[in-house]
Amino acid sequence: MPTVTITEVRNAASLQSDNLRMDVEINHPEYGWIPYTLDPADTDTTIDNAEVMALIGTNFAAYVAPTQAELDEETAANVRAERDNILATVVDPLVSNPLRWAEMTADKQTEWSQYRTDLLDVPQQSGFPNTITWPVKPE
Amino acid sequence: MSQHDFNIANQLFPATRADLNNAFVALASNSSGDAEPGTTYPNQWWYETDTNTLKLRNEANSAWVPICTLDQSSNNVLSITTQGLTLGATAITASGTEINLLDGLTRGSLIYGNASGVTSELVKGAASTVLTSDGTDISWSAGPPTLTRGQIINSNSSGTTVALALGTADQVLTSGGTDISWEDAQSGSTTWGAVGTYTVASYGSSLVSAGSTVSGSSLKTNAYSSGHKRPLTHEWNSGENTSLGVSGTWRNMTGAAVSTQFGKQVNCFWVRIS
Repeated sequence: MPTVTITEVRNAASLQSDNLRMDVEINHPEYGWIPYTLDPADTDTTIDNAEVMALIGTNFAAYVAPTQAELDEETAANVRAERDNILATVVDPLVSNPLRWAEMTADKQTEWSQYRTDLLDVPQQSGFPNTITWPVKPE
Repeated sequence: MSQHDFNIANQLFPATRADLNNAFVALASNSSGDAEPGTTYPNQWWYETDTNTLKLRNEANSAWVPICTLDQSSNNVLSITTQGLTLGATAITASGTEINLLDGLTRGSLIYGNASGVTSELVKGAASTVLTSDGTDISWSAGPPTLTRGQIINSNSSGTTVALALGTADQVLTSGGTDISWEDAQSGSTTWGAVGTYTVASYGSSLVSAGSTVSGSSLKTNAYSSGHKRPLTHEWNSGENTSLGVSGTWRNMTGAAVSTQFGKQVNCFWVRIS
């Protein structure tokens, strides 16, 4: 049972094409105007989302789908970020440490060098950024 | 019944005696008769026999003042004709109907002024009702409910006094800003995404100071991917957030300023407040 009644909303904007998910500002009786995300999958019943949706009505900014270029750019950034993270946390602490590097056999050094090169070349893969074949870390 | 002009004429003694006797009878009978006496005097009594009204001649000898009407059948005073009876130094202004309310008052009834300002009888209310005033009139209305253990009295959405039943164990009394109710204490929720849920997450676009609130859609979760363990400093893209159904309003509970990585604010501690 809802325990908070919302009577005012503003600045609603649709987050998806079916307009079932929205960002909106609500005038909360305790917190005042606060940002709020309306989602049909919301498990919380403190606020009656149907009532908030009724308050919004048709007064919301239409959903603007990202272009494929924008999606690709975001995906590419995430892949690079993950690649950088692997370099920073897995590869470089090993290859940049003279003592640990010296402990490796020549074959292992070659494998790790190749692994690092392959990671750096991830953006050059033909399927980048949506189909990535991640290099296999040496044993 | 006799009337006389109270003037003894010059005449022989027997006639004089008869005249005096007639005058005395007229005095004794208050000049009673259907018609007023032919000769009147200031402050003279006259009992009008056809109406059984006792009258007194006014000081100016110009009119009769009705004093009272007698009930000759039951030998009673039927009514006193007056435009203002004074008892002691207090003028009686109540009407006979109003005074009679005192006589016919039923058990438990009250005398009050009704909406027309007329003295009226208010019959007692039903059992357990209480006398209330709306600021204009009084009436009997339902009294406070009889309480059982733990109940409290409050006014419901209709403004009616009602008993609020005891909440279940560990519930707390809360106000929704309009009404009160018993609710489960919010000491953190075990249902993902409900108000009271805590999480560690990133924020997408700009630095958010401690205590600030953001919409659920702007939170970015920290996760694993592609067989490589992603640290908490990594974030999913926005499309993946959607599937998590992050709703509502979240407050940044991170006490100190946090750093950014990959152009995002990461590893903040959030609680859903709405």
